[in-house]
Amino acid sequence: MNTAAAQKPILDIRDITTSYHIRRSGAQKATTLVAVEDVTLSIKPGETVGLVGESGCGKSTLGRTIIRLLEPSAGMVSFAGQDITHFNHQEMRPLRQEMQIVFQDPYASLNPRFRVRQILYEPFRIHGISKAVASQKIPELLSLVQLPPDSLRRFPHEFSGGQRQRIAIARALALEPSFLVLDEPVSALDVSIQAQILNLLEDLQTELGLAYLFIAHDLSVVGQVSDRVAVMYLGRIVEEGPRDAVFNSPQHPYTIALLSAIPDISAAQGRQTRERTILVGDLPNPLDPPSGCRFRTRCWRGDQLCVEQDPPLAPVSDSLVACHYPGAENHWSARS
Amino acid sequence: MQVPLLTVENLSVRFNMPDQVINAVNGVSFSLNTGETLGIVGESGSGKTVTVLSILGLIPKPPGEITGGRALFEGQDLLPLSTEALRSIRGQEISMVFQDPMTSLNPVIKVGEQLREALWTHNPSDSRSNHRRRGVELLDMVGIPQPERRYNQFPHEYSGGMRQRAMIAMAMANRPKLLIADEPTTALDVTIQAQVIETLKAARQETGAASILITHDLGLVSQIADRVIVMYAGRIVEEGRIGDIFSRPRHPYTIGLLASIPSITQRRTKLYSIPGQPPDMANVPPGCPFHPRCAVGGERSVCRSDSPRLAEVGTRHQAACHFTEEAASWLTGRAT
Repeated sequence: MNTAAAQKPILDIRDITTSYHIRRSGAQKATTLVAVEDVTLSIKPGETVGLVGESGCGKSTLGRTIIRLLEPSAGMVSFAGQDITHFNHQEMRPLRQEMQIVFQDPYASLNPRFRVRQILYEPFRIHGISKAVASQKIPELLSLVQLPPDSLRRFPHEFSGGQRQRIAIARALALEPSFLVLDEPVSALDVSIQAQILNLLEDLQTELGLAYLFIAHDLSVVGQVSDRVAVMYLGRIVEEGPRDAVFNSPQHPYTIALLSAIPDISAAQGRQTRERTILVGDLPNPLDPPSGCRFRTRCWRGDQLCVEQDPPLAPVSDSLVACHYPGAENHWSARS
Repeated sequence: MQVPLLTVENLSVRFNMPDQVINAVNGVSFSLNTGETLGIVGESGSGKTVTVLSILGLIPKPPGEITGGRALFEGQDLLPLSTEALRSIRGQEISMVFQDPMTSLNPVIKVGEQLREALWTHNPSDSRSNHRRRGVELLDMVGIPQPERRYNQFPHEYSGGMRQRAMIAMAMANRPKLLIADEPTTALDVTIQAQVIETLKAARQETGAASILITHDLGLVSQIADRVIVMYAGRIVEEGRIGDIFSRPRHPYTIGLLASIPSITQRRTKLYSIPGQPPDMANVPPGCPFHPRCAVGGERSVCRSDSPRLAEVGTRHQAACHFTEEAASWLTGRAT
């Protein structure tokens, strides 16, 4: 999408850990669930970083920590060169114009009692921007997300899922942010509408130079939009690298399994066939993660070393991989 | 010539709502042979689920009303059958697996008890210990580890993937001739989805049952089905064998859907997106219901006035479009 090689990152997080305190009924003291542990990631202006993983891997928690809807328990978040790790609500407010979030469910994220005009006016009101400026900007926002001008008079229930997601995107763009967290923005949409929204997001990025953190469980969607991809498993990043490196020669066994689990239509089209790696077992309990490598309970490469030592993220060809035995497997093969 | 296990002829279903009539299924016909797997794909509201539920007498009447057609299962028309007669067929000859295993399982009854009940209902003369033995066997067949122990657990002690396997075990309990799975893996993570699909395939192989898989996911269908039906606005718009549908689609809707799916093996520069929104089912466009979104016929008068019938476009391959030849060359021109 964008070549921002030499640019400074707009977002830089270092060794972030985010925990939740869970009070179980009947238990004496609260337990701590470490949802994100030691995550380091940076995003450049105009770049899309895709964050993938299965439910409970911590990807949404990470997204929320990045825009400081949650406070990390350790590590540093810096945005546009400014350390915002411990900013309070007041200090965050001016930065909220710069960073916005779009959620998965466009039915839950729009106030059903507000007309679209009012939904789009809210960000301006909250940030003390005059009504005159807002009423000039609001129609522009609508055309940016390709909705007809008469939408302003209507209520959310009068729109389909895809149109509602357009409204949520317009609202996120109201204050001209430079960075958006997109948390599963197309997961609730039908296939034909999903492509519309992905294309819209891509157009907006080109037009406005936005940086995206694109969170999704669907690897094929992430592969379509991302410049770089980070794969999470049980709170850690296990592999991170350029889109093509991660998709074409995945090194971490989890990435390999995740890619191979996707039902891809190319086999039925006779273009490619591949061996499938099907993982055994389920995700371990995050309250009681395995010792050593967290993926070892489902891994086919593991040995005693993996039980004893937690592998750090280390460079392997073009990517960073957290595995004692990294390596691509020849799971793609052209059908002859 | 083999006699089909299930033949649906000209099925039409509508819902009489207080202020409007929704024609959910319009003249749907298809057949299914013993041992065959049929995929029914379509987006929300396309009528794929209603088609199957009405065959099994599972739509609420009123407001639902079957306005025409027949559904012959082993030569017997299911549509006029009484609730009792249908109940003895459901679960015995035909069984179903739904999307959300948590709402299909009773949360306060042990999984084993629920399995035993399914076995007992259709085979009351057998002994309790025989039911138990068979129940454990079934859990083992669907790959649930430690089936003896798991037999005595409650649904909440199972993970999402295991619950769905337990549902498959229950559906297979009485060796049905037909298994219907409605979005069986939509609520699951990709790696677990792959496990469940393998379980479904194995169960199908072991029992020799025919199956119908209802899904919005074309990738999934491509992995498991022999033939596919594509539905739009309550109609079948295309039907054919897997290879034909994925490599030589002839209906502009199917072509558009396939072009709008991101592929992990080949990154497209830009996804194709079908313009517009899925039709409002209370207000379906006249003529071909797809014409307002169609890139081939579009604004031509025949598309606006005449609803095209399903017609042969190849061996066991049908499409409902006035311009299937043009659709084919449009596809070649796009060279996806």
